[in-house]
Amino acid sequence: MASAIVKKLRGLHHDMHRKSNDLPDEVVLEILLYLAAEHLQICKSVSGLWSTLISNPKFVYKHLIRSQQHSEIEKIFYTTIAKPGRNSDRYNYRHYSIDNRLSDLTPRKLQLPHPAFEENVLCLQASCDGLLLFKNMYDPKQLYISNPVTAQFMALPPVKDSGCQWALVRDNSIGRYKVFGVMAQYSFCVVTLGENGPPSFWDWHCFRREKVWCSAMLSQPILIKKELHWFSTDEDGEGPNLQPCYCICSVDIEKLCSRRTNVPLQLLTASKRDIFEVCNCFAHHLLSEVNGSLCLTFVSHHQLQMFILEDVTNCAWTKSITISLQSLYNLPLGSFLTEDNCLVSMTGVNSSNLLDLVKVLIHFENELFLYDVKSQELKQIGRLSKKQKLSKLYFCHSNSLVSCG
Amino acid sequence: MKDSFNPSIEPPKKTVTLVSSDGYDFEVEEEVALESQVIKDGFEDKAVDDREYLLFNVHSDTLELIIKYCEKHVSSRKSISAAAASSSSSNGEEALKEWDEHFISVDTNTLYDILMAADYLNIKSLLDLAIQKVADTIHGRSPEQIRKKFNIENDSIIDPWASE
Repeated sequence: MASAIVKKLRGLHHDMHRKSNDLPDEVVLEILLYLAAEHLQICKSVSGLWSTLISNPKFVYKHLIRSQQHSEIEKIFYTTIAKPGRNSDRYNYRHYSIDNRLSDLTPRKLQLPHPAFEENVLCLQASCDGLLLFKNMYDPKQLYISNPVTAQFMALPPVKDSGCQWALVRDNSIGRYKVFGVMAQYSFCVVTLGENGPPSFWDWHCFRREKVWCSAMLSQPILIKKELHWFSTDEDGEGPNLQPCYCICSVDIEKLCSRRTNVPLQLLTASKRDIFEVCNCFAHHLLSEVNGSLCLTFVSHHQLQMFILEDVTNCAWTKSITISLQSLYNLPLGSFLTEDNCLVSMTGVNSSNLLDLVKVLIHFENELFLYDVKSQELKQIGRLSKKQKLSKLYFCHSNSLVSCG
Repeated sequence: MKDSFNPSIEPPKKTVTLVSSDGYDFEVEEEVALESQVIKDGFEDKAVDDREYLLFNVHSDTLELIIKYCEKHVSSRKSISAAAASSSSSNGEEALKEWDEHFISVDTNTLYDILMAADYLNIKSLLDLAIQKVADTIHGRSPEQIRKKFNIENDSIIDPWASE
């Protein structure tokens, strides 16, 4: 194509060439947004101005959003914090990710509460925007929150009950992070990070006054839009007609109001006896998000069923898939319902393609495998020592400079 | 018969004039100039015979490059959508990416000039391309190298990996 430029001299000939070496601060700031979090942390020592620019919470959040849109988000299932050598004063974070990648950060100084953490003391519980929540395996009431990139490491106030499942979320209405501990169907606790230094106590909320006969937390909590959901047992009816049942508990992370959605036994083709059983053993059920709706994967001895909550207000579930466990090839059946396995859900799956949603993470000896329900293939995804307990989930993690306090 | 409909004869292309900081006129097709959000905003309010833009911040050397970029993107967009309409396979987008990469591989001063001009004219895709290029050149560099590159005086001695 011929150039459409017609160039003619006007007679004026000022040369107004800029001195190119100096970019204005707002342009430099724009360039910094394009750098990886890990490198930005190093860039803080370029100058006082750069350090101030990079540490600004607005910049940090803008950078986080941009990097989540432009780079791959790691799906990590385990993170260790250990000294690279006996005499080192620095610690190394190592992330094990589900696509068989190991990523290390440059070792950094940490103010750990104990002089030396062994590699399997901390167990990853939740992750949000680059912050990680750990539980102390020797002291399960003690939790820590950390940003591996900025080397921030902070202890949370001890919890009174160690039986919680944990979630870490961002409350967009106040721009702060919150840690939720949920207890089956009757209560949850919450702390808000970074209001006035480290939080000092947990705020407890109850769903119902009295504790019910059989309370079991049957899935990990998941966040969909502004609500945290988990699957649990419950009771339905009154007085002598009291019936055990299943329910989904939901908490609004901003307003902290809660609600329950019943899951009828007939729907699950489950019996009351099944509920007694699940109360006594580890549950493998899974909640996931599919196109903004809640999807329940319910596992019994012989089959796996998937349901989608189409209409929340009318509690309308549709059953989508039933898979007979016996029909699955290459799945070590005996190990399916053990404590070392868990179902994990994939993100961005369409409801027409539900078989892609659920995979099985299997921790056998010192190896980790991922079983694909659709292709029925078992794939080794990495090595993890048997001593290091999986937290039954993987977490979407992207490096960021987000501060937790 | 006069004025019979003949699709092969297109009306003459409308043009606008861009004037660089050092006083050169560039006559470009309207749709090429409209790649700039700054020109696009309020374009309709301007009288047709007054479509001249004085770009005080853009040197003719840079403006020539910017126009080249916009022309390429306008024509590529047309051929990509034409290929999509006739559902023939096209590697247009990939070819354009390659072209972009080649286009932006320039010396530092030219790169900064393009960046500043794209910012001034508000051409989103070009600004993105230029910033990414500058970011790539400082990626993985030490603070000392970055100070040199941006003429920054060292006024801070902190250990970035130490806990705050």
